[in-house]
Order: sequence, then C-alpha cells, then structure tokens
Amino acid sequence: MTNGVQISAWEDDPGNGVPGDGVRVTRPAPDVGRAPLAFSFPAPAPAAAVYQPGTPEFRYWTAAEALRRGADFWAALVPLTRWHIGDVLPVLLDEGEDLNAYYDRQALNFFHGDSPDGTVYSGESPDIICHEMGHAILDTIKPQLWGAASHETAAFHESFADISGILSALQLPSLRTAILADTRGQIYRASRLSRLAEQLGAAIRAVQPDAVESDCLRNAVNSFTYEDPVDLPPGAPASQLSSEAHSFSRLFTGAAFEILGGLLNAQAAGGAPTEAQLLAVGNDLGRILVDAVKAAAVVPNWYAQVAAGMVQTSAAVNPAYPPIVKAVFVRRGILSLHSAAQAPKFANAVNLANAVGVVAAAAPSPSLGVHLALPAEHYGLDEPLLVEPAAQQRPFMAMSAAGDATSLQPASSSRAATSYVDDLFRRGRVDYAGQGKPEHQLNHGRRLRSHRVVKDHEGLKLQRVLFDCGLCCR
Amino acid sequence: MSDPTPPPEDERIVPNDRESISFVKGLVAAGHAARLGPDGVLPRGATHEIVGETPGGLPILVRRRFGGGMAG
Repeated sequence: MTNGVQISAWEDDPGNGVPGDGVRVTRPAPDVGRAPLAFSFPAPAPAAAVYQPGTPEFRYWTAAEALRRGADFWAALVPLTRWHIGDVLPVLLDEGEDLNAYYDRQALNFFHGDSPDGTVYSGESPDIICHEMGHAILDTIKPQLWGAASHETAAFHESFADISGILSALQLPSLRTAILADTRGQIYRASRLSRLAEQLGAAIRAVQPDAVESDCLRNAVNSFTYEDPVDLPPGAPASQLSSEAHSFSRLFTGAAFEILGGLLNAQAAGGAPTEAQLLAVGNDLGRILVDAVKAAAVVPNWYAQVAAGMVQTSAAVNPAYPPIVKAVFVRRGILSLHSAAQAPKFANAVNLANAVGVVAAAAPSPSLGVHLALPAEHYGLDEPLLVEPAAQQRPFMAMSAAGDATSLQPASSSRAATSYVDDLFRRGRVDYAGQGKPEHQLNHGRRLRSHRVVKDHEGLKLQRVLFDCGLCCR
Repeated sequence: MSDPTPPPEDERIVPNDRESISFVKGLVAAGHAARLGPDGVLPRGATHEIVGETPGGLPILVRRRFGGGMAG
C-alpha cells in the first residue's frame, strides 16, 4: 500500500548543466499497477520512502511517479482504458549499456551509459520516461501508424512522444510555477519545459557533438519550417532538418509548443498568465491534438492532415483558438494558406472565381501605378486585395540559382506578388486594421507589422507601414 | 526485448513508391534497419527488422520498436 506515503523524484530531466543539481520534488507514492493504464516492473518495488539521488530506489520512484502522472493525464484526456498491448505495460528500467530508450510493443525499455558527469540512466529522466510512454499512448490511439512507410508518420510519433513529455510535465504544479517565473509568462521561450532530455543530450554530445542540440537532446523552441522530407537528406547535423524521424519531428513539436504559448497568451488576455491557465491550455492542446489524430487519415502528408484537423478541433475547445492554431501552422509551412483557409470548419462560401485580374489604379505617384487584385479569402478578407505588383519592364534578365546550380526562371509579376503577399500574411506582418472577419483570420499575437489593409473607394488595398530589421519576427 | 513472431502481411513495409523507397533508404542509411542477430535479437540501434528483399534489391522491413535512435 502506498496511501499517504511520500517519495522523492526528479521534477523533470535531472540534467541542467550542473551535475547533481536537478530539481527534486516530494510527491505521493504512485500506484503503478492501478488501472487504467497499469504498469508492471520485473523486480519488487522498493519500499515507498524518500531516497537519495544516485540510488536505484530513487530512480525507481522517479520513473514510477513520472509514468503514473503521464498515464493518468492521457487516460483521462483521450480517454483510454487499456494499452494497445493489453491491460498492463511492462517497464524495464535498466536493460544494459546504451544511450537510448525505446518502446517495442512489449515494454518500455531503458538503459544506462557513460557521460562526462558519470553514468546516465535514461529511465531516470521524466522527459524520457514520458516520451517513451507517449509512443505507447499514440500506439493505443492510432495503431495504424506503427508500420506506416512514411517519413511524416514516423516523425510524428517522435513528436507526439516529445509533446507527451511536455504535457505530462505540466501536470506538476511546482513546474508550472517555475516555468512561468523563468519565462516571465512567455512560454514559447527556451526553458526547462522546452528542453527535452538535457542529461542524455549531454552524454550523446560528448560522443557525437553535432548529433544533438547545444543544450539538450531536442528543444521545442526552434525555427524549423516545412520541407518535403522526401527531398531532405536522410541525416544532418542537429542544426538542420533531415528526413530522419527524430530530426523531422522537431518541426511539428516546435509548432505545437508555439501553439501552447499562443493559447496561453489568449487565456491570459494581456495579463500575466497563471499556473492554472497554463495547466488548462496544456490540457486543451492535448485534447486538440488527440482529436485531430483520431480523425486524420494515414497518408504521406500526415503533418498537414493533423494540422488541419487541429484547426478544426480547436474550435470546439475554444472559439478563440482556431486563428492561433492556423497562424502557427501557416508560419511553419505545415499548412498552406489555402489549406488553412479551407479547413472545413472555416471554409468560406464566397466564390472568388472572378477575383483575379489587373485593374486600373488611380493611385498617385510614387506608386507603381497599377494594382493587382488577389483573391483574399484565404487571408481572412471578404473581398479581393489590391496590391502593387513589381511589374515594371526589365532592362535585362537576371535569374537566381536552383539547388542544382541551374537557373530559376523568374516568377511572373502576378506570381511574385502572390508569393510576397502570402509570405506577409504567413509571417504575421499585416495589420488587418479591422477589415474582414477576425474568426477567418490568422492571429499571430503581438508582432511588428510592416503592412496594413486599408479600404478606399476602389476596395481593399495593402499598404506598407514601415521597413524593419526583421529580427523580431518569431 | 525483441519480437521474433512473423509479422502480419499488412505490417510489412515494401518499398514500392517514391515515399516508401525514400523511407526505407533513410532507415538503411541511418542504421535503423537490420536483420536479427544470431541470438534472434534485433540490434539495439535498429527500429526495423529486415524480413525480405524486393526484386530491385531493396529491403522489406517490419517495425519492431520506436525510439531506437534517440539521438536522431
């Protein structure tokens, strides 16, 4: 029986750059064998008590506490009554020497290995524990992903597992309070919450410096944007994306973490977010993600499928969420502007088939003197947007180089204008200034706007407001 | 732990289009695809077992675990 007994455990990953300086918490002794989502360990559990770090007993209770906390979170949220493999998921805390951990549809497997600071046990890190358990959760929700021959589905499994680590960590009140203080309420900043598996990352870095990020195994605060993984190399330094699942997973994890920050800002409504709000938006993100995963078809462009589903499912959680979710996915390139606009819940019935065309402009000098009317439904505007295309006659032909060093044909002025305006909206650089319907627009939060939408007798026009150095856009 | 039981047909990854060929080649390049060792155990760094070969010489795979490449 463990009722009323306290144990000591790591609050999150014990590696924070200072050996032996992880944050400890005292928690009620967990019942790992309790359904739903029960666990089993091969050896008898040590007596529930407060043990010192570095002992097998401390490692056991750290793992048990993280597993119970994470499983309780997902079991209630999804909801789940059993694992894909049955009622009980075995846990093997030290299967030998390796800097690794894995889920194999039979057990959660953890290892130990050398690091500059001594022996590292992957089963001692709540980040890694809840990552591996996240694989088992997703395998239960969507077992069809297990054998899918797709970069994106494999990478998503890693991303979901990392998100599991983050959302499970948020179940701890002490961690929520600490993270809000560390980030001053701006969750989308590098912190103990965004950094996953610092200790294992340091051990791997000592062996292979470019295999992991500079401060952890993977950081959920990153600036990766979508590229077709089929066109990416199979491996790359941690600073770049490759098609390898753990590498490519960082794109979706970064988007999800950015959404978490956006949802928290929306909840706080300009004030300082509270730890209760942080818990609430963490639970909201989990629900949005799970509902989207359940509904998504298993196809090669899985990221876009899930992202579109998240836009849709977020509306049922909170009507303020879809513009935030859309904005992040569009900014990351996971969803195109058109895809985001056509998420079924928000499809605009307005037919803009006749919206494209160059119209005469009465704009005075120093403008270019013509306006191009761009379809603007996918920007969240009710009528075409008049923009000034770069349409002056070229005195000579200059072309950029493609990746294979061949020349790229320059885009037509209309295509170039469309691409440019798309980028402005994707990056949140346009002030809608009250035009259009807010529920159809992208809410990028507080950003420096270089352009604004204005309405005059000809219609809606895009006007530049300022030039800036571009260093404050993400 | 390893699972020596034969996989169902629908869990076999046969590289037969652009996406699946790229996926399988990526696993092979990263060392995440391997045959079972003499002891019947999949090497630790591998996530997929090689269970066959296409006429074109590419391996046919079955996933055996997630997480075999924490370092990415």
